[in-house]
Amino acid sequence: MSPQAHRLTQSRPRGLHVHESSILSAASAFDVGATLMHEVGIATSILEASVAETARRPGARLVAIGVRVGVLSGVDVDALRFAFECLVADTEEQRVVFTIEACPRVNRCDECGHEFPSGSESPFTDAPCPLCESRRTRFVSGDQLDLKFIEVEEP
Amino acid sequence: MTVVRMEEKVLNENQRIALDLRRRFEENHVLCLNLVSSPGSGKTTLLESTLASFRPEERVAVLTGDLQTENDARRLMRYGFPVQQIVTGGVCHLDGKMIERALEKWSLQDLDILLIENVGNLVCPSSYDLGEESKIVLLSVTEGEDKPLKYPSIFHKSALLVLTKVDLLPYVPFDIEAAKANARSVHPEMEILEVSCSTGKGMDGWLGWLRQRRAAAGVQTAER
Repeated sequence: MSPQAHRLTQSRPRGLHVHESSILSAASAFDVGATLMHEVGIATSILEASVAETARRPGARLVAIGVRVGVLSGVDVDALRFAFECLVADTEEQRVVFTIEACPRVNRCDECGHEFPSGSESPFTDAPCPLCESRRTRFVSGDQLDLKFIEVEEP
Repeated sequence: MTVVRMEEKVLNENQRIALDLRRRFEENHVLCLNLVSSPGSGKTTLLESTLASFRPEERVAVLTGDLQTENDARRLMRYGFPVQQIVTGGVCHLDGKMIERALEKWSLQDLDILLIENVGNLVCPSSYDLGEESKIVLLSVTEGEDKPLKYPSIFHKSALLVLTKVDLLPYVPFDIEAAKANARSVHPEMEILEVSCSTGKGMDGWLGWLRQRRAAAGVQTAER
């Protein structure tokens, strides 16, 4: 968790029902970066889609959510997790396990066709092909922002 | 316990709106460009210089987004083209719905070019498709040349990098070749232009890029 996010958690009034607008005002009050976190909106979309899918199953209870976030998605994994935790605090979903699969940039070599992650965290194309050492590589993936699965407990 | 495979885009509602906007732009032969940069890199100034160079009969319009105030719209309206301010009220980016709503006031049949000035922010706008033909990212020489490395997502998703305020190069420690190399390490095919709105240097290149993009959009739709 980023230091700002940590500070926010610490300073959130206890027992208050937290919804998006209060996180937004908390975020501006504590000056998280120059602008408000768009991760709040993204976490809201994830939660809404998951709750809607759960509601289609009579008596089901949401227990886990899995998302995939690419290093080039523009989404900060810590901020997303923090936003999600704020959204579910003191709600029916507060025990939902939120799993983020962070995806590296994957490039394909133009020469030999090998696909490889360009460093565990690196979004750059600098890395040559580990097999044939060619520098002619092409972007394949790394900008994912996907809802992978939800897990529900059914009666 | 049941695992339900979802496999959907988190922002699929925005994506649905963006695809609809893109279809409408193409049907009406409108070139839509989405300008993104940090606050103060010169988006509004580049748009002012661009509008000033257009003939009055040119069918161009601007949507400009800001957290607060209508100052940018006031600056841009002086050139006689339709301008709308989108005040996001604190939201850090424009999204498809905001564009859709703003376009209710205009007929796309009356337009050839729609320029969207996003909220000054290199992070969040990169996640939201607005139906644009291309994103354009601006980087001024008073910033750090490592911005493409710090904010790779937007440099990866933009077709063009415009390096602005290049008249200041003699007075700042900005290494323009390093900036270009950084941008190309994230996005090897990226086009790069250098512009100064104060001296007019590079404006021909930028306006030429716009004309070429416009012609390409027109040819594509004519062929269909």
